[in-house]
Amino acid sequence: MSGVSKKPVEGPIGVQFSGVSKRYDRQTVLRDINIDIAERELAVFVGPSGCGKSTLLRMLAGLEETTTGTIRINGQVVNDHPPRERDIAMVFQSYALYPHMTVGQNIGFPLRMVGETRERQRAKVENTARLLGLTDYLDRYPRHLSGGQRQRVAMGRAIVRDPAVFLFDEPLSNLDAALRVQMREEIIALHRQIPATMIYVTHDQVEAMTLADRIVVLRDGHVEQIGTPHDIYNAPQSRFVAEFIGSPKINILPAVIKVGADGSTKVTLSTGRIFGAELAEQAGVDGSAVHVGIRPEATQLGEGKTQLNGTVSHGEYLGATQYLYVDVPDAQGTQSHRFITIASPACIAQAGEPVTVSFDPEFCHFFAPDGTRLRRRHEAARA
Amino acid sequence: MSWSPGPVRGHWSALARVILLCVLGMAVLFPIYWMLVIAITPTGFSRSLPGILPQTVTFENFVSLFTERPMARWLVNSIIVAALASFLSLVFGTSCGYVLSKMKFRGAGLVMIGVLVTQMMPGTSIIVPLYILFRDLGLLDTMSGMVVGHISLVVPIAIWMSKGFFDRIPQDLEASARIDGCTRLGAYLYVSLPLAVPGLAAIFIYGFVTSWHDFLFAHSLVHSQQLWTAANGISSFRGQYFTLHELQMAAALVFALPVIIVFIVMQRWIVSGAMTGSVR
Amino acid sequence: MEPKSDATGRADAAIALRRRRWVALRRSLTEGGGFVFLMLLPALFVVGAVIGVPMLRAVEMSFNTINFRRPAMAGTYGFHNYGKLFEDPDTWSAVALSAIYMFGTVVGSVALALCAALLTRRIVRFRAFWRVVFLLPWTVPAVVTALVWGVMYDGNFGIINRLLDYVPFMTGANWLIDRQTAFPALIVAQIWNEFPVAYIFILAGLHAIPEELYEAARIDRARAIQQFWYITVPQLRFILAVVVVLLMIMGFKSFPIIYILTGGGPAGATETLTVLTFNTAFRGLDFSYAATLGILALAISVILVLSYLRLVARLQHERGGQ
Repeated sequence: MSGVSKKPVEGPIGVQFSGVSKRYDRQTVLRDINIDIAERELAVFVGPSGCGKSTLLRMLAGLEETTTGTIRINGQVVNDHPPRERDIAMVFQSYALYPHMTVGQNIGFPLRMVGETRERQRAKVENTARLLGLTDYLDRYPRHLSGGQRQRVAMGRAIVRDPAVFLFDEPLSNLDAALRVQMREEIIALHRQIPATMIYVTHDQVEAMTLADRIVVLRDGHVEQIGTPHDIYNAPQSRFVAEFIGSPKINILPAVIKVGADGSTKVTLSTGRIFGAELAEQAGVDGSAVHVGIRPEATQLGEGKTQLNGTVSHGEYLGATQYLYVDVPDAQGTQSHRFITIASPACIAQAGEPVTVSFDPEFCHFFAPDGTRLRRRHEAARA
Repeated sequence: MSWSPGPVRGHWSALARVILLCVLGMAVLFPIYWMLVIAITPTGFSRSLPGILPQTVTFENFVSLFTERPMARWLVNSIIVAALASFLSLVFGTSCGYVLSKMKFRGAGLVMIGVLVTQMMPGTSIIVPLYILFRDLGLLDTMSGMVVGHISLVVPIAIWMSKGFFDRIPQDLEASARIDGCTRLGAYLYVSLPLAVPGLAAIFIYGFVTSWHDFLFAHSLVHSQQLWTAANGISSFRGQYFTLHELQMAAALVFALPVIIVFIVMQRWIVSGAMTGSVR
Repeated sequence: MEPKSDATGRADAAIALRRRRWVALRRSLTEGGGFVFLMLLPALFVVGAVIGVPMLRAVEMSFNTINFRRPAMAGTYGFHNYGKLFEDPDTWSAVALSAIYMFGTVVGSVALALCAALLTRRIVRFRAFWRVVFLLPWTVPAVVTALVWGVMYDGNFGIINRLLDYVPFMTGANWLIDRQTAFPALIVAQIWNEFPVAYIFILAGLHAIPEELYEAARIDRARAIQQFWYITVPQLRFILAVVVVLLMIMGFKSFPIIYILTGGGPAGATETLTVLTFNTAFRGLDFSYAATLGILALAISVILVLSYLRLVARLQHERGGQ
């Protein structure tokens, strides 16, 4: 199931948020955030816009005040420290290069501010420029650089000083798709070379999955889930996380749970299909409505263990694969649900054509009406 | 292709617009043109000009301005006062504009309203108590008094306009500088201030012109003729040489021309600067 | 390690406290409230000295009796100046004249600026040239405006009267001396001097209107007049409101043009609040009453400024909402 899976980084805590909250006038934008990030870990804060992820990062940087709670960097409480005393570096979405300074002066600026000697400044700037392939551009001004080069200069300015923590605030969202993939790889390479804690904020779940040692999913000012990409994808702790991570989006079907006299659990999908599932907490779930989440890649066209019958709405041909959008009607036939499945690119389906989709109940996720995950028996046993 | 009345009518209306525009433009420019015509007409001859074209061209009015009247003295006074008042206002006002733009603090709204009110209230409201104060302090009829008076005119402009220019510098640059090891003051001096230099130059020019143009303070705070600024000097011509239109217009032209030339040369730049100053 | 004695422990605590305080102070000065205060200090000092102190002095004077014609009365405090403010018909005539002056210059400037802006908005060639033409009067000092219009208005030799000779049924006038014509003549000079301000704003506003709106209107067969009323005017609404308040402030402040051309005469026919204030002080030598008039003018401009700020805030809100 998993390929080259990442293990969570062990070791002392590099950055710690405990009970952190943020209030503007009347509005609470973050409440009771508790996150421990290990030293040398690359943590990604991900969430939809307005979830508070950038605010959290800016609080760590010292650019926003912390209303309550404490933030620690390498064990030291930094709540009252100004940004320059926090030993951090940050790459901004807008790059924030100083327009009146050359590339060399931009990269050397943090060194100049801590009073390095001229020779050491030059040596370090040249080293950094070589690392990032900027040697030929040192005397140019930012306005003469391309987007990708500006991005590199911003990174250079961050790494030149060996800070304890790197902060990235959506650094790739101004780049085009091809460049974004390339820079993503460079950041991973950078993280391998530089042993520092990195915190990366993005709204892009693909970036989060590819970069992170651990992902922190934020929603409406609170932490929804913290875990490795593997955990987040395979054991989403809420319907929100399940729907936010993964493309194409997870299929959600309403269902009702019935607990039999022998203790077995039967799930009745709204389409009328019934299958068995072993849930950890059966008490009180009898007769309750749940949502069943099925990832598109866990389904296939044709007959199988559990089947759904529907009609093709349309397909999205992607070359290597094809997404089929299938409308699955309710048992009563009054409502239908949009269901995405993955089909072979060779498959030719006409709109309106009846199809059968099947999936293995083993790979289903169950969510209570409030969105929290209902654990399977084997998950509970492992925990 | 079918015949349609549209393009033809459009053609005539376009022509009408051009004609209307030219008439309006000439009407607007006429007072400036007339000032020029009379200024180059020999003394006493402007009243008998047959049309609106100059007849005999002479520079004697300008010569007599600088030889028989203290016009040069007044212009120098104006330059000194305007340069000092504008420079000092910039020095004192810029840092205030900066914190109003970049930092949140209690009372910021009040400071801004206060600045705007002082900029927009009539000068006559302040000139009366200022006169009495200056009389008590011995600043009446001195150049330094003039400079102080003009600072009260220019400082609100400097604060308001510099706030506008700092507003245009992205917040991230400041944040980045602070993370790179700057204090607030460092971020101001190393990043924001260098980026605001073109704006500060615009403010200096605007402040200079404001002081150059001022009549009320110049007329009230200084009595001795050799300390007059040019605005006061040329206005006195209307009283003294009521009928000598040629001399009046020559003086007016000499006084207005530098600003007009500067404006024409840098109009694109000044227009955007003035908009920031007043809209934001 | 030996246990510390009580005394050294207390001394250490005191040192730690002092260090913490020092750090807090340093941080405040470099990053926080202390920094804001230091940055505000120069401006507060200057504004306080050249504006704040005189304003306070004005308040003091308004209750005092500083009249150079009656120097012995100095130090007599009371509300008499404020009493006079409400009783003196000259005051209210001055306020009314200021209002008329503001109204006249605003209407004239906006009309002229609107014409010029509508005529120049779609011009492609010589765009900068026309912009300079319509902005040029703005660069002319008020003093020069006064002198030039004074020469043009001259009853005997002025070009205006001479040009009017060619117009049938029109006769010249002694523009600045005649009670009927003096005030309108001043308003015209003021309009000429200040309409460029309205022109810049309106032109910018016109350029901000999306061209698609007009294309859609043309497809719907709207005629030019209808396009003007149903697209241009609503789209310009807020900019026009801001311009009106700005011009009102400028008209209200106006002093040199009136003062130089008529000095408030003939017989007070052009004595607006600003000119009355000046004349009360420097001709009547009643500085206390002049200070009171200045405070009245200040109160009026505070109202104007607050309405200006509200309008600008609404304008920005409107723009942000789009």
